[in-house]
Amino acid sequence: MACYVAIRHLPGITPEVLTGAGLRAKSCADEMTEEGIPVRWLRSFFIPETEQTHCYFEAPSSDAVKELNERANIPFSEIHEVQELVPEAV
Amino acid sequence: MEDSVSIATRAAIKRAKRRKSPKVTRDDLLMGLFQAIARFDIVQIGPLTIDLEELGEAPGEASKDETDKTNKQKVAYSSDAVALFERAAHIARKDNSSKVELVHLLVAFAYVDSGLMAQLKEKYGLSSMEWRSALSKWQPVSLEKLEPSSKIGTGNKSAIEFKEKQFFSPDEAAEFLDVHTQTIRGYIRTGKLPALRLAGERALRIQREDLLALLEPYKPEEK
Repeated sequence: MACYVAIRHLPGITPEVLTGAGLRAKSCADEMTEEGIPVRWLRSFFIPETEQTHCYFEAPSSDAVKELNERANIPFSEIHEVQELVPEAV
Repeated sequence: MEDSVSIATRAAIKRAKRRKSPKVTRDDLLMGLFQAIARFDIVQIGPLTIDLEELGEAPGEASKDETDKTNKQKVAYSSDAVALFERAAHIARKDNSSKVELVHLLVAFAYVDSGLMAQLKEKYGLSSMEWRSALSKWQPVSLEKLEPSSKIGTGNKSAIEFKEKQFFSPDEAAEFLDVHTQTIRGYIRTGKLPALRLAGERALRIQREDLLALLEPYKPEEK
């Protein structure tokens, strides 16, 4: 399964907003998976300096990631496929 | 094993689908929370007894639709529901809880004065303070007890069934350690948890010893 990043620019974002978004993303991912679109929220990183959040998903397509974010009502500016690189693999 | 918040949010989505609404509203969320904690369609929070049947949530009808996996209608959380999640996260933080629990979502409804919550406040003569007070003393029953009939996924195995077990599937391993299946799969992927593959099959099995080896004594941090 491919890995995608959803990039969000959320000025003035609070930890509460991030937590709420995470809860919604989890439930929507479960629902979509049950519907036959296996999508999974992997993890997110918030970059305080740029007020950007990078959220990583495992999904069959970027459209699935887009749909998940729309269902969870989380705004995003870009979605890209990413290549994963881990220390163990190099 | 799904945690109670997941059960509630999934029930909320299912309710929106049943209503054929494109939005998961605050009412869906409140009813999802109630469904997650109800027994025999009764929600008991302190002195409060809420009858889901009386609220028009007919149990038979609900369970039939909830098992209908063909319903692929796309539903999104409404802005009101989004605000409620954020309020619950704020309440959880004030409650010194690292996670948003079911009770925090319920408390967040104290300040809602429309829809289903307004009906409840009127019907039971509830003020925001009385709602919060009832929830402050509320002890949820254990997950085994609050397993709703609509729960999706594998059924819970009893402790006895696990006692005899040597090999676990990732789902069973997750249930055994009371974590999410994805956590187990993550451990396997990163090599933290050894797993075996059935010859020629995709299915994974994990040995009891390897699961137990994941646990280590908790050492409080020295200050």
